[in-house]
Amino acid sequence: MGGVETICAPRSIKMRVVDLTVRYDDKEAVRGVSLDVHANEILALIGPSGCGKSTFLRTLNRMNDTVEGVCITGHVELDGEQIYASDVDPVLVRRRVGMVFQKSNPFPKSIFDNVAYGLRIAGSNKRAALAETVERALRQAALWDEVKDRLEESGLALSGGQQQRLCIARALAVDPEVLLMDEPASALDPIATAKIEDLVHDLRKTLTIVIVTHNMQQAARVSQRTAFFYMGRLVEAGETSELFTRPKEAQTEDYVNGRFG
Amino acid sequence: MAPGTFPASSAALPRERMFVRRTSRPGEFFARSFFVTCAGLVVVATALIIAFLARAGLRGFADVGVESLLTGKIWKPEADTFGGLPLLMGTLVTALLALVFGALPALLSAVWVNELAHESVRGISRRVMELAAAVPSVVYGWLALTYLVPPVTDLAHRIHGDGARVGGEGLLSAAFLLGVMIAPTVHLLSLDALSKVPADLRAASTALGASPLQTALRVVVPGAWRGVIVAVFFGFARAAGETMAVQMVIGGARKLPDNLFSPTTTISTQIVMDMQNARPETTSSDVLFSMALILLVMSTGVVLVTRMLTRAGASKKTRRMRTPTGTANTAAGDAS
Ligand SMILES: Nc1ncnc2c1ncn2[C@@H]1O[C@H](COP(=O)(O)OP(=O)(O)OP(=O)(O)O)[C@@H](O)[C@H]1O
Ligand SMILES: [Mg+2]
Repeated sequence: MGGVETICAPRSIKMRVVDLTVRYDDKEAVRGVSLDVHANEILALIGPSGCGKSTFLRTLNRMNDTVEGVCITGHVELDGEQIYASDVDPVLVRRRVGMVFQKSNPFPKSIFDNVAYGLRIAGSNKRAALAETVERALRQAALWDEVKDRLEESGLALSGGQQQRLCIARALAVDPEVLLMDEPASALDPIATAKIEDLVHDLRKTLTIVIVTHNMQQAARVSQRTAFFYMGRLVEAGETSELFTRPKEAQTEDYVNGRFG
Repeated sequence: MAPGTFPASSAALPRERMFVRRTSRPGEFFARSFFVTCAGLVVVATALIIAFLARAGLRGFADVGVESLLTGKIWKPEADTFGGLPLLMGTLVTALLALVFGALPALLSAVWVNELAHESVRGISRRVMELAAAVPSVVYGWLALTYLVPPVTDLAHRIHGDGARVGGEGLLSAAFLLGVMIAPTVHLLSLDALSKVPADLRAASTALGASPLQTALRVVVPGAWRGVIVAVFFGFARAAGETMAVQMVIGGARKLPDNLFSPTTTISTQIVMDMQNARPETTSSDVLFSMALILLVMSTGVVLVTRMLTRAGASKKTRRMRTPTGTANTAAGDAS
């Protein structure tokens, strides 16, 4: 699994997950999953509803820590460093591994303050430096041209698609190395979705992206590799083109051909 | 609705005819009349109370003069001297100090319980606070008289000397007691406000690398500020109107306080004290209504201000200021 299928030149491994099991109280949501995330790739996670995609994703930046009654075993590495070691500060992990949620959730603050939030909590307060980073992040999120004249308006005054790009800009402003996206376009219309997909495609130059999606065409369009989850297990992971055309497992084949889920 | 009034909708008329009421519903009619009557009674009763209060109160103002009732320093009904300032000051100062002693800790503890403490703490603390909010005020007054006044007396004499005219019954004890009394309510109201802040905002903040404390202070409290202000103002109004418990520990001196340990009085306690000697329709009775009117105006003012603040916040978009619109003038934003 993982890098073994990679045909092109060996890529460095950005995150490595080994034998990960996640339980909510006594319900296993992820069972014994091992998977590598390569640097500067877009990895898509697909699978039917409830198969553990979001749960898996949230372990990559320790967002599951905030859930009551969660129990995590196995280990997760970022650049070879254990992120679940007892002396690791999850706050620092989250600054390196950013996250965009399914439902856009801008703060009820101005567009500027939304994007500057991550920088301010990290202690930077110089207005000029903030303005520069805010502009960079908004450009990266392909939102700059639409909002440059109204940075002080509320982030909630934007359209749904703009709000989601604002959330992406907000995540990018702190310069994460990995960006986790949980169905970032599922609530958007096709045009807004296309914008997000283009954006994800461009972001690959600078960071590593793990994206959960229900939409197999989307996975095929944006990702280099795809991992198929079923009932908490990782069934198969590999090059996206391979997985969709020549899946190794029968379950994968059934799913990508729309026979269940 | 009368069909003739909306010519544009005439095309839809045939369909609408289907919904014309064919049976009268007597049960509904009676229920409706009952509710309307009850609502009417409540409104009329309130209006009457205010009318009587205003009539007697305004008579008091006319007899004694607005200036005396607002700024006179001596309250001596037996000598026909009605200076309302000590009462006003006592009410305002005890209520404001009660916010410091009670509302502030109540708010901070609500933030702690809701955002930082373990979930099990939340249930327990809510239960305890609900219990505390339901304790009658006489009980609070009695407890304060027994357990608060003696140590405050010691403290007063330690600070001002043994011979000074200070004691445990006075401003400080009353304010502290009021603080304790309003804390549970302010805590519970703040808790409600904080827990209404959507969880996905907390998640967004956490995912951006904010510590729980940063999330609490930068996202949750600002997101709940309207509810928090309502909680604090509610505490203020409650403290300003509280009578029994305050009367037991404030000392009942009808003069302006010199310091935190001076015995003084408040509007509501003074009304209770003077009631027995005030024959209706006399000046000494009317001025009590005048003071009550002032108290009413004060709490109504607090309610109105709260409503204005929360309305303004609800409709106003995020504050506007100069925006950096390009790399060339990004530094222009420094004006803020
Ligand atoms: N906070 C939680 N507490 C308890 N159980 C949970 C929690 N979150 C998820 N689960 C359970 O864990 C399992 C996996 O959920 P998860 O959200 O990871 O699935 P998913 O693949 O993201 O599904 P979807 O495609 O619907 O988003 C589900 O059975 C779900 O009910
Ligand atoms: Mg999910």
